[in-house]
Amino acid sequence: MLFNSLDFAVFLAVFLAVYWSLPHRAQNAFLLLGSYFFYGYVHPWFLILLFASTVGDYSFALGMRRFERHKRLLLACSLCANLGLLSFFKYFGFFVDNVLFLAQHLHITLQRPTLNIVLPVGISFYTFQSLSYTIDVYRGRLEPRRNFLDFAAFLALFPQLVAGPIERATHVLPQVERERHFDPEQARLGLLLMLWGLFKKIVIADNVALITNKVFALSSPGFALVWVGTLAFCVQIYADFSAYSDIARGTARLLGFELMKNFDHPYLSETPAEFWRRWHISLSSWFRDYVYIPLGGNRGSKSRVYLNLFLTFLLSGFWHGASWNFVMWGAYHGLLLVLFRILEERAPGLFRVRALRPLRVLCMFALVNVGWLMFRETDVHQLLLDLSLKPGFDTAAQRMAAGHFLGLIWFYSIPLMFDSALYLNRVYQRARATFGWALVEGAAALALISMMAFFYSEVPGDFIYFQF
Amino acid sequence: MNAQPEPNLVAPEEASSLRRQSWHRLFSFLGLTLLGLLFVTALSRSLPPPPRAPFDRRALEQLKRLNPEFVLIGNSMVQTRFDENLLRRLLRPHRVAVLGVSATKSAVWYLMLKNLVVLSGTHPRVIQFFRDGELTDPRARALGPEHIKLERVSVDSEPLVEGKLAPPLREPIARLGWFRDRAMPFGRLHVQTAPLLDDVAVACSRLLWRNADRDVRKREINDLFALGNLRTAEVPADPVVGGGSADFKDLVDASFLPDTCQLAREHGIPLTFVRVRTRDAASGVPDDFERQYIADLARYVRGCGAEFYDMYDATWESLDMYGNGDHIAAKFKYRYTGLFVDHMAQIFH
Repeated sequence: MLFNSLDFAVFLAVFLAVYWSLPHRAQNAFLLLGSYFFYGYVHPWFLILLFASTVGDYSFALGMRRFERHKRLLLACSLCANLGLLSFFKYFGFFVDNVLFLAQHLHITLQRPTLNIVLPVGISFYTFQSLSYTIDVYRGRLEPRRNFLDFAAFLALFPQLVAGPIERATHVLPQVERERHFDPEQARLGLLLMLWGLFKKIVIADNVALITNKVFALSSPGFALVWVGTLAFCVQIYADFSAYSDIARGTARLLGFELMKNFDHPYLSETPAEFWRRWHISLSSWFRDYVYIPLGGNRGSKSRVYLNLFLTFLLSGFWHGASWNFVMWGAYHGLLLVLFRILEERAPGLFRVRALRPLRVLCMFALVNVGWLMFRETDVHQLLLDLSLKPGFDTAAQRMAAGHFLGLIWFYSIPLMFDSALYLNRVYQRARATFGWALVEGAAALALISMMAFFYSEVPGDFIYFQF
Repeated sequence: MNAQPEPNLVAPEEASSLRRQSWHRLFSFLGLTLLGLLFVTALSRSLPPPPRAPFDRRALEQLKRLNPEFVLIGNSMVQTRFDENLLRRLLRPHRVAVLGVSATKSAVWYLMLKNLVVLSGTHPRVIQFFRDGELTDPRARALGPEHIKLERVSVDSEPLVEGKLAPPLREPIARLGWFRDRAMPFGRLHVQTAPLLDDVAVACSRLLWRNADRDVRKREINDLFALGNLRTAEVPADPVVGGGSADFKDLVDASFLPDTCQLAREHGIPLTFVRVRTRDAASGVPDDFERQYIADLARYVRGCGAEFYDMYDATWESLDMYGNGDHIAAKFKYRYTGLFVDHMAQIFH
């Protein structure tokens, strides 16, 4: 079910009315039921996988407590089950394509299997969430839960089930177990977040997506258009994904849950490390805690730390999609992190001069855009062609189209720039704490609704991260 | 690890006052949101609906002049597959007209038959090209901004077509959306934003290309994104909707198929339906559900007295001929036309 659909609006209204009229235990049962309905709305068979993952990790975690001596084996089982499921559904096609490609080059004839695998929506998100539970139980940071219903409700919590934020059991499970009461303040803030998220999706992301799709459908777009298209994608992916996270967090607040912040103005970052503290925070922190630190983290020699950083981001790229361009994107960000770390060690002054901050932000923004080109251009051959384009060879039509699109991207980005300006303004930060601010927020809601009515995209699209 | 309730550090009176304030804030927020919604609804309703696009008489006049024996109807599947001049030459002495309009579906095709072929007074064999489930999806590419394509082939209001565009009762949410769009016609507001967006785009375009005249710019940009300039890529085809033979009757009843068949019968126009081959078929991916659907569809149209051809197994159409999605690449259009006439000669009788 899509957040930006009427189906979801009707579902949420009915769900909330029943949910808040129930006692706590029944609330959790209803939450699980609602979450399964939400997830299985289009493809009910996806529920089998979610349920299998739930039963598996619930049992493995309980087993770790009961059979302390075998907990390492049980963790391995959990890892194999979750990653096996993910690998089969997400990476099988990629694996087959590459084996066939290799075989063809070695003049070996292989038959392509006729298995047509559909990637279940959200599998990358909930398997990681489930894994964090068994790993935390293994590490002794969390007690395994006996109540299956609570655990299943945590794993299937519908606001964040399909595209995150990837929550930790230590953060959400206690909220599932605690009695929840309707909080009007949280509900108001939740509604405001949802409205802002809807605005970003309907007005910004979906409109800018039209430009991105047009540019990346051209067989020879030329230098100017490729980079304008990349800029469009840069705006689109931020507006789209942060919109999903905002709607998820807003919906969770209506249910009495607090989910982690997933985006924090990432395009204001000065370094790659800062960018990853601000972009898809739940995934970066997941990789930090469950991949980077177990690999050795910051311990060991410098070269070992650099290798750990690089490997973590390579895996992060592969998590995004079963395609070489995502691997390249991950490797690129890994390299950026390593290079900036070396630069920070060798020339720390560059990162301390306040006057250079705008320049650092601009430089980082440009580097992030190079990464977005790798992310958007799924065909590696075409990606290399795009990267080899030189300025000055564009046709008049290509330049005109680039200018035309640039104007539209700028126009649709105004609300995002305004949001960033408010974020940087201290007066605004102080004003937020006052009572009258609620009225300002109400007026903002009024303005958002009006702008949505005028500037909505006529071609609504899926959320980008659904494909992962 | 059970969660402990947080200790209550606020006095009961203060807590109650804070809670009251929270409720006030929530209600004032909801009030303002509702006000916003009412405001834009009232504003959009106060605006006149955008004028309907005029009926395109040129196509009708051309048909009358040509008096064809064969008329090919369809969307870009027809546009990208047939070179009209070559087709005319190959089928000579028969006369043939191609009515291929990209991004159209069954609603427009029905109106083409009704308002172009029938009104022209000619009695050609109408050859209707379609992909997979397109014939039983009446609302596809006919709503919202795409309604304009219907208007261009509508002489007047089309109650039958408009009636079929409304979602059926068994789809309550879609029906609710349909009523919402009628009660809140935000499209009228949206239309007003087009000149503003165009001005912004023109201003920026001039920064990069000073001599850009507005019309020249539009034309050049449109030419740049013509079908022939697009990548060869796989675009997911529209899925076949419904399930099993029991549902097939419902699908047909809701579609324009019965009306198309009846109209053709009433005016003595022979009908042929051709399911074009797609990338999926060319890559050899079988689909049992789709096969059942096509069998049901073939049975239905043959029952109406129409001819039915399924090109799923037309192996002369190879995968390397495809361009963007299921389109035939521009460089193969000429060759495809020739191959089609050679291999599907039985259609032109």
